Amino acid sequence: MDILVFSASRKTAEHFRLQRRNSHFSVPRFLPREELKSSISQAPPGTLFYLDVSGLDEKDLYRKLRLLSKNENIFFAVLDPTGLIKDVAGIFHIGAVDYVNRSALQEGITSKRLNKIYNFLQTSRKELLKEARQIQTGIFGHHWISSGNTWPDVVPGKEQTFGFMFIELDGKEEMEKSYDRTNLGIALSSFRRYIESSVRLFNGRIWIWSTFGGLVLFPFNLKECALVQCGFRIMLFKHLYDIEESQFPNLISFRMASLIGNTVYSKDDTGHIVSDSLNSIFHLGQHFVKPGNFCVTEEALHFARPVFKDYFLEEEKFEGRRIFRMRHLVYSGFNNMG
Amino acid sequence: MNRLESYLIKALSHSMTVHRMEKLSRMVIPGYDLHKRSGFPETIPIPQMDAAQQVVSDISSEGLLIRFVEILIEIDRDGLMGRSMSIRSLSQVIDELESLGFIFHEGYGVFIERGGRVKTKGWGILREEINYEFSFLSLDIVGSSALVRNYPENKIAKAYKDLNRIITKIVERREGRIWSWEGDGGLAAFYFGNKNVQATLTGLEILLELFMHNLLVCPFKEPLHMRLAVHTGPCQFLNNVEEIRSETLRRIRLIESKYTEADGLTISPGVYTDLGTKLERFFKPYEISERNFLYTYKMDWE
Repeated sequence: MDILVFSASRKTAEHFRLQRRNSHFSVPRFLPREELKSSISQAPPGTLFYLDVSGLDEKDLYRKLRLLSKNENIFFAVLDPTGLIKDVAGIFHIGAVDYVNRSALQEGITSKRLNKIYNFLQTSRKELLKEARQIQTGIFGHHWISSGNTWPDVVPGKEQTFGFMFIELDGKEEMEKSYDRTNLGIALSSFRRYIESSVRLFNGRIWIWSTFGGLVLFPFNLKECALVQCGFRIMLFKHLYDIEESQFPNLISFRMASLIGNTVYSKDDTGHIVSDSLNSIFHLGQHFVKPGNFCVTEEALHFARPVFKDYFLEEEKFEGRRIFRMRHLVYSGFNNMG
Repeated sequence: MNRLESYLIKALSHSMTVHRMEKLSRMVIPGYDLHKRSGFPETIPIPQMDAAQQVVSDISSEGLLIRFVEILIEIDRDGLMGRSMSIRSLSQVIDELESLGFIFHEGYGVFIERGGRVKTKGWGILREEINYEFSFLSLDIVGSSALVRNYPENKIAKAYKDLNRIITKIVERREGRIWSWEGDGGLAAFYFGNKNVQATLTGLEILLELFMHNLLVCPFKEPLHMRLAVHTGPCQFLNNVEEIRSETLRRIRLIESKYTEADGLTISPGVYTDLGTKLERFFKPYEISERNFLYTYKMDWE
């Protein structure tokens, strides 16, 4: 879960002795107290807010504490190095989960202290904690919200994190010129069926499909994603499809791209979805990946089984992201003359 | 007379002349002569019912009833010599065969055993000691003796069993049958349709699945390697495969053991010529003696 610390003093950060995320908490972020209100409304459920109350006048203190206590979607705690709060128990009565006075602050807010809070929450605020567990600010600094392991876990209408896979046939202009419309339609349907059945094995679902390709989504539990394995397998077994099922007269070529990102999933009306990840995956697939290739972002590769890393080579960066390309398959007998 | 025979007699006697019955019978029993078989003199016309009974009885005693029904299905669908011909009560005949455990495979135009869990080496239709044209796929695990030396017996047994399960699934999906499996290798047979293409694709798929298996689940420190070969030719069918003496089987074992690399698939020229333009591109000719070629497939990474 995320930790946000609101303080007027820059020195407060020195008391937080959590340099790396532990199994329950991410590295704290420090913000000015003026941002408390806006942060509460934007914070993901289960975020832990530390408020440094030193220097606040009585009115401001109680207004801020009321703001924190009435929001049931977050946890809050108080840093009180100047002993401003007279009734410490009262802080807990209104729902605080930690109170840190001067001496405790000198000892530092350590991983051990935070874990004690976590254990306390496990009994007292179980439901919210469960929701918090599904949310993570990942090692790559993204704000990710688990969409679960399988499709029944996905909540339509709510922003969640998915594995995105872009797939598109190469040479579409050429195909439109050389095949008649009916035959092309039959061949394209067979291609779609192939992709549909290939991704289904890995819990993937075609979300958006236009004539020559589309976008597949995979639920992502923030721990492991079958996205890369699925794309790898599609590339590896491509020529079996080409020979056994494809209705195209020649061997086909397609390119694929994968990343992990957020979107609000909806079954219908995909034309009106606004999502940075959606833009990114289409940019990556259409403007970066070369014909016949499969490229993945660093994040997507990170959450794949480690054995796959040997089969990807780093490419140049694209839109600030590190990109890795699947190594090409070489067949001893393959000639490309037809 | 069983139910299938009586349905067939009904189908023949209600759908065609005696002359046509005789003609169709010759498609399964060459030179079939209805008058000779029935004892009716040439000058006396054979009543339709008698003719149908005789034909069905003769074809049944030769063990060719299923083949005969396949021909009737083909004629009902496509006609005979350009003329359409409807076989009455044919659906009853097909239902009866299906109730006996067979299923009509539209693509191959033949009945094969429905299978389920039990699949026989002869697809439920091949007859003992008869010669057929097959395509064979020979499989061998490379370095099996070293594995056996280095790993406990139960670990080896489980790994080989897993591999056998993967291979059997791929073989049977293309209507092939595993004829023998001896722990570290085996033989699969293909009989229907484009059998050379089916056997070759099966070989390719096994190599790809083996690659994924090594990547994700192989229990050994080192990957498992296999050598595969495909060859086609005549071979006698015997349920006891070990007793088959066949030049085709001798040849495929030679191709696999002598001319195939680890993780490679080698095919003979007779197989290569049937592959078609898309598939043949994945194979490279390999000269084993003057003007004597085999063709190899091997996948590698850039």
